[in-house]
Amino acid sequence: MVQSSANYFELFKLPADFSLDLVDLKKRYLRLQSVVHPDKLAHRSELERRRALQQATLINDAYQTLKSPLLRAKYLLEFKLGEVNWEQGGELSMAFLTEQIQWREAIAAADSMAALEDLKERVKQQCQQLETELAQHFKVANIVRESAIATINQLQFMYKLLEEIQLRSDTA
Amino acid sequence: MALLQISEPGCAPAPHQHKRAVGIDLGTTYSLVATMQSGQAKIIEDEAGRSLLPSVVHFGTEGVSVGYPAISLGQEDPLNCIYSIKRLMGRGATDINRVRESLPFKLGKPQTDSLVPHIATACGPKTAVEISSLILTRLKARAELALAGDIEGAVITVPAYFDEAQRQATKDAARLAGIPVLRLLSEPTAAAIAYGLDRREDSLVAVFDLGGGTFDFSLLHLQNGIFEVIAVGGDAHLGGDDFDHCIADWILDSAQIDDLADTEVGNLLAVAKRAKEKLTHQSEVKILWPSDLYGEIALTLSRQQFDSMVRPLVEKAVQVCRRTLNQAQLETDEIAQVVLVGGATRVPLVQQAVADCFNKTPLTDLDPDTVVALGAAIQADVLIGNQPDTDLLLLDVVPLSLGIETMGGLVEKIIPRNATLPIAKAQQFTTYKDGQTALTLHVLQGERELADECRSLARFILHGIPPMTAGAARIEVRFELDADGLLQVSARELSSGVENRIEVKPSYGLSDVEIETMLRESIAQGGQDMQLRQLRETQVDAQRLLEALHTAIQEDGEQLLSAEERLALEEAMQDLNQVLSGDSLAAIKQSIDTLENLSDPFAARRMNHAVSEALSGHKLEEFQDD
Repeated sequence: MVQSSANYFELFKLPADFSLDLVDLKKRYLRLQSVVHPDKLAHRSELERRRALQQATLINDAYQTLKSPLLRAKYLLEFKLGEVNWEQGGELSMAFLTEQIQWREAIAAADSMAALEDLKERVKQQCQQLETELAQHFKVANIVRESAIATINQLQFMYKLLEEIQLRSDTA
Repeated sequence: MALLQISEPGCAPAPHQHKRAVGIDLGTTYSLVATMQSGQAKIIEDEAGRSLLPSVVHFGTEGVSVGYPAISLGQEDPLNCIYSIKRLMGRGATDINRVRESLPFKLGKPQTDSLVPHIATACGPKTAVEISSLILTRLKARAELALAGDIEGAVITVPAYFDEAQRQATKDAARLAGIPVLRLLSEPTAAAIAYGLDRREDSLVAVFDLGGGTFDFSLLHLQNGIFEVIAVGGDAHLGGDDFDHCIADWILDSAQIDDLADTEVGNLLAVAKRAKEKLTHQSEVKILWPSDLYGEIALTLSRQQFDSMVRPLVEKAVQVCRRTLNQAQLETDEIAQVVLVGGATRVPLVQQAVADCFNKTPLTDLDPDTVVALGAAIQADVLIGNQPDTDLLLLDVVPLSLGIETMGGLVEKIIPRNATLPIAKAQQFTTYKDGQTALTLHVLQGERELADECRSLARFILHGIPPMTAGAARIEVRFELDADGLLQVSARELSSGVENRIEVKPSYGLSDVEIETMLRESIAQGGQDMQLRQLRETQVDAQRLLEALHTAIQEDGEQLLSAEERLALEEAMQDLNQVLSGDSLAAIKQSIDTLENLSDPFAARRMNHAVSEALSGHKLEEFQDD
């Protein structure tokens, strides 16, 4: 099987880089699904439909990974450097952790949708900054493992905050 | 080189022959069947020219009736007349208590050997799957009469918000009715297809679907014939029936009746329903309830009064819209179009509330009762292969998160809601005690954090874990959802290298044995033979395989098969073709197996070829220009 061993970037015929155009990615994704989706082969044999199901599952997984800057960064780092132990290395600074506590307190204290919206915007800005940093990490030929992991871990924390804000506004 | 011909008259029909496919809307109050006729989706009517089949079944001592006759018979014999059976689909005996109050019929005593609620009828205890299959059988007969032949494939619609168990139950009902299901399709998506909204430019569409018993809200992204579901929300227990109950309660209140006799429930609800329908066009309605027990009751209900009764229900639906938009991180002004589906959206207050929420007039051009079946018919025609050149593609999502119960009764989510189907995800778990050799896995669906508050889909035990210290074992649990949203779970132990793999299809309680028994009974009642039916089904499978391979070889044989491979395939095809017309089920199955194994590498090559072609050369450029 060529495709299942192919990496996600190859699958979408894209260079293995952190920066990518999401609109273009989506077009490629829809184009691929319109070839392999089991519905396109609903009148074919059981076997072909099973293959299609596997392929469509893989393409969905690849798209979800490449679409999310966090998942894309993790995938790309492991693609470039081999398996990464995310718990080791990339220590977070005391300043960052203190900031996290402050964010969490702010989310818990937010008493309106507007306040939550405002927090969401600010967290998103931070995410964007981290994503720009990540793009820099991946641009250089010799990726600095420690600092790339640190930035990714920070981004992960920020995503957790976004999830928490979402949860709060769901139940608000 | 010269090639062997494999076609034999009557065995391999021409690939482009039109196939009989239908779309079925299996509704809470009404069901419909539709098909494509000369390029147009059309509802198939009954002999009396009626589109709707009331989803009502009457079990009499004389026999079973479905639809309008069942309603008439039910007036004299309400306890044997089953309405709104969809509300019980996929529900276990334990979670039925929640809806018991609002059911217009009596549940039988739970059968000790089954987890599924049985309804007591004059024909014995019946499950929701059986009752639904009777409705489907009637629709199937209607379609086969109109199309003059067996149905070769059907798309059956389900509420987008239906959970795994409810979907599985729907598929089982179709199986009992002998309907080959091409796909379960979400009702809101079906409506969007019927409206032809895919032909518009890149846009976001919201579908507000308030049926008899369920409410569904879907957000779709449409682009070049692709329907991508972004998010769904809903309430599996909110619908037009609840509006009827509001009016019924008001009548009882006004007439000071405290304890309504069971035999009067059906009549009262019918009176309430008519009043609701009249209020769509009138500002007030005179209600006349000729009750046998309480004398003739006459009342006047204004639309204003009605609005204030149902406002909390409508508000509940609007809240679902807001929450779903929020989850999808979308604002109401980003929605280009709102479509109304379901009979209950005729209620003026509902239309007003939707217009206010989205700040635009919703689309109501198509009859909200038939639009879902029409969309399903279009999709069925595409799936069966009648429209090889269409762009139509649906990318659906899983409506509710799926997970596993962990220590302390918490839920660990493995597949999040609104993930695009098909999807597979694995997660690792470990043991809790030293020397633990088995692990109970409890599969759950829902958004809550506590297992008790989620829907329990299945429990199974993974045995044979080598004894280790607590936390040392690595157990990988894998969830796989197909394009219909049906789940398979498997688990294996990784750390010891011992692979112990089990697969379960979660069930809502009906065991395989129960299904098998029902299948036998239904076939026996239809005067058919189980073995004969199996043989026919296998012959159809074999023909499909032959046809598919024939086309595949024509398309890609030259490029992707060596001469030897091609010869071997064609010989195996000829073998299958020879046993096909005989009556040995075993021989046909054996030949199918052989041919499938032989053609597997070819299928894989074709798939890879298609994937790499899709994004290469001029095809990509064409695509980029869209």
